[in-house]
Amino acid sequence: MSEATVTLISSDKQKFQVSKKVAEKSVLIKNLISDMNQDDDDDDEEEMNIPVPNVRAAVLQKVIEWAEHHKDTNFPDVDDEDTRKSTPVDEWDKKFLEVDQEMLYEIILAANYMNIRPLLDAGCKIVAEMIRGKSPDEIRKIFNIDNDFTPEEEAAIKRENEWAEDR
Amino acid sequence: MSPPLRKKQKRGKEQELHLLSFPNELLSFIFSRLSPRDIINLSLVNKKHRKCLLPFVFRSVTMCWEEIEKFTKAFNLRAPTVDYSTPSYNLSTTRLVSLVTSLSIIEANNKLEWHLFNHLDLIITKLSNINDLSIKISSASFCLKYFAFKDSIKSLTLETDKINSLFNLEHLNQFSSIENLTLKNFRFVNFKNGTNENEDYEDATSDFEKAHHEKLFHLPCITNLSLINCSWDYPFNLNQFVYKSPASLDHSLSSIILSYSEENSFLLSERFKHYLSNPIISPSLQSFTLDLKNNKDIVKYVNIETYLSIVKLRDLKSVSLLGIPFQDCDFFHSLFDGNDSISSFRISFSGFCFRDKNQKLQLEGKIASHLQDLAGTRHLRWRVFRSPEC
Repeated sequence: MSEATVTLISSDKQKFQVSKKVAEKSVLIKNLISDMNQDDDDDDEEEMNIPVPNVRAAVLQKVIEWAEHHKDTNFPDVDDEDTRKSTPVDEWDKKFLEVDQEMLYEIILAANYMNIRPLLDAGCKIVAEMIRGKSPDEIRKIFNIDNDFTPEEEAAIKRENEWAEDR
Repeated sequence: MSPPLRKKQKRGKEQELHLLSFPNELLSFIFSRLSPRDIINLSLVNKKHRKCLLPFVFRSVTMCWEEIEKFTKAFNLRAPTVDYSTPSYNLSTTRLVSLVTSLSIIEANNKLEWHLFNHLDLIITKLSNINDLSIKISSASFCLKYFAFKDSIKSLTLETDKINSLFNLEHLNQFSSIENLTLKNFRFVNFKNGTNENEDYEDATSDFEKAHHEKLFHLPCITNLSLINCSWDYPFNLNQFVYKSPASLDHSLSSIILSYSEENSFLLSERFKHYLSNPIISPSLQSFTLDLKNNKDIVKYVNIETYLSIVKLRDLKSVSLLGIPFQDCDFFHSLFDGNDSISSFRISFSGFCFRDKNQKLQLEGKIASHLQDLAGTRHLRWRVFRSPEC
């Protein structure tokens, strides 16, 4: 049973064969598999094809790589908000998520869609790190954005913002 | 969709921050790890960011008493909208004001407070989505009487500069929907409705009548009560926060936090000892926290171990005893012996009562291994925090 595999199909129709244990790191897929097994449990031998329509092959491959690595990792309680927020990002995850921004965003959105809490948290924390302590100018550089405010607008906004500042 | 087109679209996307297309709950999670300053900086990046991040930027607004009038003017809370921004960047002030969910008034100011309560009341009325209010005042809680009905406020934090300033539950009359209440530095007293306060005070101290209780104001929705450096005078009783009838189980209070960081003769009083011997003020209570902040002056006088009722605490789900000196393991033995209800337990204790540091470490180890054994047999989350030695 532990060797059982499933086939995940990306949005661009690429097939990925993975062990059930790895695929079940995604709560979405775990629930799908258990639903399918309930319907016809005598057909265990049949190959299981699971489409993941929102995720393209390159991203799905990364997500699977992550799940393979964490196959045996026990993640802390997902419903404990404080623990979720305060745990630092795992060193391997940090390295793993050293990808270009678009890929990072796509991995986060895929983790959100596939319901893979620990990967989602790691991705979000890395995005937060990219912003923390940076000036607007530095943020523009990091995300490659042009400033479209006039100096007057900027001054007006800064006045408004005074009320929102942490004191 | 043909492949080249898709590629072109993707290029276009790359120019913008993809981040803004994230669902709100992801943005909230990311922003929960950032300071308000970081979120403001991100919102200053360009117009699109500004627009998208406004709800996060203006979620919480802070001002001191001196700035209240300025705020009223800046956000046009009196007159109809006057456009103060440039034509190309026109921000609707009404919309902005509706984004605020949390307002903090900092720096008590005894000259301006009384004068500005009307203004503050007006501001709160205009902030249509406010549910969290935090006010710092210079003395007693009487000023709250001047607020109009505020049923949108779910969390109220009231702090006074002068320790032992009078507080009367009746003053929260207009805030009857409060779920989370935090009070700091107050002394609770009972007054009767609508009569001269001094006279009443005398009256109330004369005798403790249960019947009298029913007429007193209480907070029907209160869930979390947090009292910092607060004391109370006989016959006030913490029950009054939730009081309905002695038999009624229909309470909502689930968590109580008491913390003391300053020396307060109240901690030596019979009232406090009496409270410790019956810390459960509502049948619905699940979580109890007592935090003496490792304050040497407090802990050397108060013997928590002796007075704190183990029998009562055993029914709770979560118990935290922080910054309190413990002498031995007995307390924990009796607390957990044959008891399955507590599922979360946190302690930290100071070493003032020990002859040397080793003795403290030994006890720490003993308690930790005791809790470890217990955690093995049932679902118990526990933590022994290291207290800094003063």
